[in-house]
Amino acid sequence: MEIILNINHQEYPLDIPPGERLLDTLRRLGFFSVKYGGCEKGECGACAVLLDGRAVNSCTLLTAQAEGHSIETVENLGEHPEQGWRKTEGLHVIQQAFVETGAIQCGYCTPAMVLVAKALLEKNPSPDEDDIRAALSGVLCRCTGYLKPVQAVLRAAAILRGEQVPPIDAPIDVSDIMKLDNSTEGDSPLASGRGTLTETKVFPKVKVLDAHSPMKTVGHAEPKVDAVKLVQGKPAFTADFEIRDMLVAKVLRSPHAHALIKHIDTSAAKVLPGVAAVLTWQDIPRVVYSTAGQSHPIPGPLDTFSLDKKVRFVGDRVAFVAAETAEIAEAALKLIKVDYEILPAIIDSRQAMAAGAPLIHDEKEYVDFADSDASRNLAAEIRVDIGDVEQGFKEADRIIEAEYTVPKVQQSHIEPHVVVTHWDADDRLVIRTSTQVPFHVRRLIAPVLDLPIKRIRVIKPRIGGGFGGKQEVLVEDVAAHLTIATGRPVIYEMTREEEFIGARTRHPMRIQLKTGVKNDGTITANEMRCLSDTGAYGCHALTVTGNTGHKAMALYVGDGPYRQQPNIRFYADVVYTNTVPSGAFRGYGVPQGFWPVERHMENIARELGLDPIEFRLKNAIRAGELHPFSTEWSEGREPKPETIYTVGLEECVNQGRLAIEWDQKFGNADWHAVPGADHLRKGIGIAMVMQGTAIPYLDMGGASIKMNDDGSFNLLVGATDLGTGSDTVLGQMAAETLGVPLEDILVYSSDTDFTPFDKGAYASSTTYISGTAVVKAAEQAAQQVRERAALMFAEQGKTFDPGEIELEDRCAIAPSGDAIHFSEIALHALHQTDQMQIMAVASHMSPVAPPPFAAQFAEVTVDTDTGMVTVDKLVMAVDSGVIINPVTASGQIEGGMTQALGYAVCEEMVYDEQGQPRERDFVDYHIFRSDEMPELTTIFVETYEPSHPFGAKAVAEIPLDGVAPAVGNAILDACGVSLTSIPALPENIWLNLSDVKERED
Amino acid sequence: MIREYFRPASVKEALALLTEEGKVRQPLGGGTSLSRQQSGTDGIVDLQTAGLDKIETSGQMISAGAMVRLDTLLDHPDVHPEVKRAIRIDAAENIRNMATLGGWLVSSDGRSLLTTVLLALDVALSWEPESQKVRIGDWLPIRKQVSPGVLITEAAWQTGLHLAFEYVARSPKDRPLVVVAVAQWGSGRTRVALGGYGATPVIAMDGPDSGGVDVASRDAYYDAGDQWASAQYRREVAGKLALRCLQRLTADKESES
Repeated sequence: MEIILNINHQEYPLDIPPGERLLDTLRRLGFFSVKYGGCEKGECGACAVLLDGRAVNSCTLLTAQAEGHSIETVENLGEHPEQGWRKTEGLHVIQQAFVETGAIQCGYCTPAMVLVAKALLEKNPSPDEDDIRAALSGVLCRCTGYLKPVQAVLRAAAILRGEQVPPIDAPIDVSDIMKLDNSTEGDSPLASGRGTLTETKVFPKVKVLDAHSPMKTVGHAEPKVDAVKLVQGKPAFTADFEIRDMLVAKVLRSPHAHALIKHIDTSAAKVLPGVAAVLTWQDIPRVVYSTAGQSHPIPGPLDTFSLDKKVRFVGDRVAFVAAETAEIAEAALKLIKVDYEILPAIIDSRQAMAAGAPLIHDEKEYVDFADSDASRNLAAEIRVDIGDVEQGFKEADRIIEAEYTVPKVQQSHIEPHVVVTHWDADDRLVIRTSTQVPFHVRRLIAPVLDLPIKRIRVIKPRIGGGFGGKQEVLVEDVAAHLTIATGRPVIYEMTREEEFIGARTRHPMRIQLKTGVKNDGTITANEMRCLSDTGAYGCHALTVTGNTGHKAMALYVGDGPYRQQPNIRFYADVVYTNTVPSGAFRGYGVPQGFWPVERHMENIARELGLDPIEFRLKNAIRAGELHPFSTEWSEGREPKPETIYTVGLEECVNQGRLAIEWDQKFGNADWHAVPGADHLRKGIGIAMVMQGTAIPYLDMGGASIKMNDDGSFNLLVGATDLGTGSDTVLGQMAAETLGVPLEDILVYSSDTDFTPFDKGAYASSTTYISGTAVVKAAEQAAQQVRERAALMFAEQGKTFDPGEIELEDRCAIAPSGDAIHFSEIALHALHQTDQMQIMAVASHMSPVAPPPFAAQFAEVTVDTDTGMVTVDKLVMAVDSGVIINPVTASGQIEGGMTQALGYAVCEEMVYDEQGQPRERDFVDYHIFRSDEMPELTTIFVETYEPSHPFGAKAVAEIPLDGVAPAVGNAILDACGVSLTSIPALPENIWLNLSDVKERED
Repeated sequence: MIREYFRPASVKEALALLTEEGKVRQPLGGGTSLSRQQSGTDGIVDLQTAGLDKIETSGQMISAGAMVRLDTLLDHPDVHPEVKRAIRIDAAENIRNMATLGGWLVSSDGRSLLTTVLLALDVALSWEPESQKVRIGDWLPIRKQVSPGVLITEAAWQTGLHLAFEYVARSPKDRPLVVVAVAQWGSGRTRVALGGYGATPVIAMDGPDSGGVDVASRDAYYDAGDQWASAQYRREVAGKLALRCLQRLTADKESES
């Protein structure tokens, strides 16, 4: 049908199919700011546009519906102020505020948020926080926790009203946090959901424990280096790249949890006009591999085929189709006839190793790793004994045991998995993919495709969130097989339903804890036995579950003599079931461990009548002590002792308890009551946690730096910024080392042809490992700059030792005060005398993995009639060493806490007895909206980690660890219910409340 | 597969398109659930210009056209605050900017707060052709099987009555597990609707006074168990929430007097 659309005040005459969605039309026309979130019902809002000034979801509108209306996209807002000789007005005020406040992480939902904000401010120039949160409620963000987007809109509103706003890069002195908290009352009233609490000041609270020299770039709130492009909605993501003659791939997925494919008939699908290829297991090489994006050798079993004659979960792959359009590909899927022989399935992990249980992996190609045993459905087995655990139990006054469970949950990045493959002119396969691990993708997929590594090039563009879900070779083979089959470019983009039924999840676990403790609160022995469910494939089976013990069981070593010789046991069986595979998810096994450990510690403290904070700190690991697991276990490799040098845990507790007013609330009966509402009870809880920073003796990152004619530098890294801001902090470290502003560092990541190797974005390693590589390379480049400057000074008759020359403000400065600008140095080196490229390459591997520590607090209200829990406040005080960029780092904490909040109260994946998943979209799988968030507070406690050039430790994963147990402990504090499972479902609390009341009666 | 798109200028035109022999056509409200390409649908009849987007108040009645968007209801002064609260929880900003009242009633399930509240309000639905009036409580249970007409054109309900709802969910804006909505007329008539379960909300009670709202609510959810919550839980909690709604209504009345 012919229509005319008005897009951004321009008329577009179009001939479209009547059923075409507005999203598809806009993207076809090149409006790439309008993103696809994979959903069917408009749940995510990434595709939002303004229709007559109102935010609507273009994925649920027919294009024809929009005729006669004004459509506005972010392309209609501002742009970069300098377009060569053409100067523009620059970014729109709202865009600028999003850039400055750190409201952009992955940037996938940013254009939608900016549009929503614009619609709001045009209607209401003075919105309060509730108004802003309501307006943003239709755009789901998995990265930010919504705090900084709210701050951005408040800031933009103030600027548009002509008001002064506070500077962004304005550190706050936290010598007295109470003073700080009081100081906020005047300029920013009330709390989230209750007016306006959020400040337009965005620099987080920082308490410096180990003083260090002030720096020019490191430690400052530099805007993200990719923010300007993302806020404009530029075509920066995988699906934004278009190639001529590109086919669309779709995957036929199994409706059965466990079945053999007896016969598969693709003849009708193949002859459907527009279908280019249909592939089944019979059409491609049978190569066993692991989808886990990890270093060589893969620390897990090889148990996966691109396509197999057996399906092992509802959602497993059956066939691939490539067609001219998505609609044709979907129609072709329906024409494939599959004759299944249904096999008995294992849904409950407790049945996996039972006698007579069906075997999930009976293929002869299966390759064991370590103690995996497919004949028992065992993907991995871990047995760690530290000290003498049985003796420790004998020495205890009490033994306290309990069993806890944690659910399967989904990463839920808003950008689905997406990949584009094509042959280049040299017959090399180019894979442009939204991955956290481009180098692992290249290495792991090569044998699957029967291509040598050198004939594969993997390009990672911007990533719309990953959270571990993209530490997996999950979609690349689909498109690649189809490109090989057809010779044509292929795009494969998962739907939201596929993300839930066919991607990866967090391992659900059943965990038994047994703790020996003396009456004075000294832990004498601690034992964890874990049954971990890896689902149908063993990707990350060993390492995720190993981390559960390695981190969560390392925090409490005991006191006195036990501190020197802790008694710790960690046994785990990681079993196969016929459910969607588990894999990497931010936190990587540690949140699973700290739910039981921190609930258990709370129960022990209360049983002994001890203060829960003092009890924990008494037994917690301290600076100068060995990481207890470091001598016993290292992901299946040889363990090597690691001493922990920096532990800011106690100060984290101090700062956090002040921020949440623990001393005024804990044990205060009056505070727990809610006036006028007898059915409501308030509670407060704490959890202490630790993580790791990279994997010692394994993780390696590389960086190269070269100087350009104008004195700027290209920084090439293999590290993958998946929205975390790692490109920015790597650039900041390079800038600090080279004495230039961040704008002179042009960061590029990643392309396996051009950037050095990096193991990728996982294990909280980028700032620490890749960052150290960057600093090493920058130091080498800086030395070359100094030597060149010394040569130039010598030509002027002035002699200086290169080591005496300082690099600052783009200049090489001699002790005499003489200075040469970097642009002169660059021209001299490249064009004038003893010509050379100032350039350096470095890499880094660490022998240690210094843990970050944190104290996490939660405040809740429990409805004792219904069991419904409302989380009112979350506070996290974290020791992540020196913070390279406080704004991006606090964004990591806020977003992490929000993901963890979902883990605590509402996220879970449930299967029926046939293995059919209950959750297939964001309607049933609920992630928090902007208008239901609790108040979030982040405090950094800065130690100086000596093993990093700027004293940094990890920040990305630790916020996932303590929210659930802090919420669980707050529920206990509120109403006496001691939960052993999450999410904290109302019915579960209600049932336990009956027990509590019976006990009280 | 959608092969045709129509945008009629009146209800009459819409009815003609929707009843054309040999054609399978669907009326389109905001598009939140119908815009996807569907098998068995030849054409879409977009009602945005059919004149069904007005809200009118007359005496003690408010009537809203089927094409009134949820965000328009939020802005209207005569729409009860509890209806607005239900909309804000049920539908995020982008959805309520698109979704229409008629579309919502047709496509929402038993876990919708808004539909539960409208059921408590005893909304009257107008259907075309033949201007049939059907009570929401009579239509919802059979809406998948029997239709009183081709097109919902209007929903009308009484203003000035007292209304409260309470719900339980895993988070404040998650889909509810239990909803109880109680409407009370000046005469004392008390009508209780339950949601959070099943294909549609249900009526637990419609009586001359409020006596027994808790028992009626418990009884109505006697067998309301599914993967999300047990029947025992829903039953017991529904009774408590019904009483809580009544307490709120009593408090409202006391504050008014």
